Amino acid sequence: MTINMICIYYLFRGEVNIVESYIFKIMSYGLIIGFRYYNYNSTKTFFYFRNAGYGIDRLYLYALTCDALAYGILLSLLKLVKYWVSIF
Amino acid sequence: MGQYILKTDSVHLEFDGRKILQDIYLDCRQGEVVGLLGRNGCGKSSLLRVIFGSLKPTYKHVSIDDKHIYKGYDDGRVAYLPQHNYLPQNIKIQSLAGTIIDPQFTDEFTSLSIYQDHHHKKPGQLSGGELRQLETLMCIYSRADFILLDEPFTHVSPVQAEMFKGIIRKCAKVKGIIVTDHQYYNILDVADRIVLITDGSTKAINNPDDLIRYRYISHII
Repeated sequence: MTINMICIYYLFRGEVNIVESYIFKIMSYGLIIGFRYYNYNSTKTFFYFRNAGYGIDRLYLYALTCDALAYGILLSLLKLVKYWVSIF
Repeated sequence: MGQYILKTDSVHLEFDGRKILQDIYLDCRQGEVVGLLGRNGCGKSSLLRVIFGSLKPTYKHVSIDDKHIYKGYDDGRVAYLPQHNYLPQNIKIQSLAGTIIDPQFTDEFTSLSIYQDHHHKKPGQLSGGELRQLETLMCIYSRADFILLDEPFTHVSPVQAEMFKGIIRKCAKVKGIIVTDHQYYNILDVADRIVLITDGSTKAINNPDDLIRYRYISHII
C-alpha cells in the first residue's frame, strides 16, 4: 500500500506516467520477493502456509496480482475524481 | 474415508557430491504411526522434507494411493513439523489455527489449555517452550492426510511428551503419521513400526535388538 501511495503521489505530480509507475511497482515486487527469499526468518514461516495447503509461489502470485489490480482501480478512481473536480 | 497410503521410493539425494539418501523405500498408511530413526546427519529430516516437497532431490517418487505427487503440501495432503519455529510472529494464534486445524478436531484442539491460555496472543508473545508445544499440536491436528513430525519430543518435558504421544495415537486413527526423534524410546513407544536409516538406505526394524545390530544404539534402556 505504501508503494501504491508513493506511485500515485509521483504520478499526480506529473513526474512519472502510468507505464513508468507500473514499472516502478514491478521493481518493488522484485525487491519484496528477493527480501522474503533471502531473509532466513521469513523462509521459516513458509512452512506454516505450506501446512495450510498454499504453495508459496501461488501465494505471491495471488497477492501481487491483487495488489496490481487494486492499484489500477485506485488510480482510475482518483483520475475520475480529479476530472470531476476540474469540471465542477 | 478411504485408507490412503503414502509411498516414497527411489530417493536420491546428495549434497556437494556426498550421497545422503540413495536406497529409500518408506510407506505409511492412514491409521498407523511409522517411527523413523537414524544417527545425526543420516538424512531423516531431509527425507521428510523431500516427501513434504520443500527439498528437491536428484530423483524421487512420492505417491498417495499410487498417484504421483510432485509436492506433498499441494492441496494440503501432507503437513510437516520442522525443527525450527514456523508460525508467523505477528498474527493471532486463533487466526493461525482457524486456517490449519482439521474441522473434526477443532473442538478437541480449542479445549487444550495451551490454546485456551494463548489463543488471543501472537506467537511472538509466547515463551520458546509454549510456542514449540503449540506448533507441534497445530501440526498434529492439521487437515492433512499425512503428518510428518521432525523431532516433536525434543525440548519438551516428559509430561508433554506423554501428552503428545496420546494425541499422535488418537489422530493416527484417521491419519498416517511419520515421526522421527533422537529420543528413540518415545518413538518405540508411539510407533506401530520402525524404519531405520543407515548408510543412506532404509531398513525395517522388526524388534528393538535390530537397532543394536545396525549399531544405532549400544543397548536398550
